[in-house]
Amino acid sequence: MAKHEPEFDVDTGATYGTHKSYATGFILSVVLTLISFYLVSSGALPKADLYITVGVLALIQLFVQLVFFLHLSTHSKASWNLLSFLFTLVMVLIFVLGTLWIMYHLYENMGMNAMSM
Amino acid sequence: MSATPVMNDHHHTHHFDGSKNVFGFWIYIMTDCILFATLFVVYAVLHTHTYGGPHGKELFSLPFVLTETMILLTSSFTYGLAMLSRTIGNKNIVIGWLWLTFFLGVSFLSMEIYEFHNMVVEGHTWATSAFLSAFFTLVSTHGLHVSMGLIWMLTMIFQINKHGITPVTKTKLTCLGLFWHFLDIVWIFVFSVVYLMGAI
Repeated sequence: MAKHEPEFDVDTGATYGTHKSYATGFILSVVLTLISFYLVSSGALPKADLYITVGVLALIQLFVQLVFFLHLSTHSKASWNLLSFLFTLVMVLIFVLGTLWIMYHLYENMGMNAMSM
Repeated sequence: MSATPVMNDHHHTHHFDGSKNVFGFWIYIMTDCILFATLFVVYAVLHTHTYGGPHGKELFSLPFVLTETMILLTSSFTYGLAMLSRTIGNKNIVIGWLWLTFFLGVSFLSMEIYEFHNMVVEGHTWATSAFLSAFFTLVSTHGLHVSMGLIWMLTMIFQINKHGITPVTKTKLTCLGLFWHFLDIVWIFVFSVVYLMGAI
């Protein structure tokens, strides 16, 4: 029970975080952005690794901003927010991965070497 | 102890309840995620179809886009500060942070329009190739959202100036906050997928 309990506003049902949580989110986001930028502009890694690293760093930043800026939490009072988010995430993954999968095979079967990923 | 929640419930029936508005707006944002996901994947499929024209690597200036990214990120932070200063009891502090956020948003949008203008002047329009059609559709859909957010922010500044921080204005401010932070997250993916991966 040592975890800090988020305060839910009586008028909006939302939680707003603290100066500390906003500063943490902001600094983490700036650092993650700069790492991505540096890696790409210096070309420090092989191409395939760069794609994966930049993608992973973007996903980490998504998580950071969801927690520190949008205050998405596992708290039971906000469970519908989390549930609708997870549902959306599944939809997005189906759209994105499904489309890439189909189109990659289409290009391959048509002898086009277009998908350079 | 057991009587307290009952008393609270009774009290709140006379009160404006913005929690459903905020949750409803959250659902709208989730649908917007789907919109952006489809535009992203269209871009991912078409980004190599340049029709003999330039690739992203020749068109994009990374330091310029990094500046845009930092400006938008800072505006997300200053919006958070506006939200946190709601409890101080001085509406002018909230309005001050909102103006700062507004001007950061305008700077971001101006840089984006400048970039688009330069590309179009050099003949790289949305009609040039499938790659540029997908690029302009994705990035300007985000830009259009930012424009709407800025108009909304102006109306919030006037409403808070007139009514102060009330349950109603606080609810609207919360929804705009969700919208603004969401747009920052979408931009992180535009920056990573379109600009950074385009430059690899």
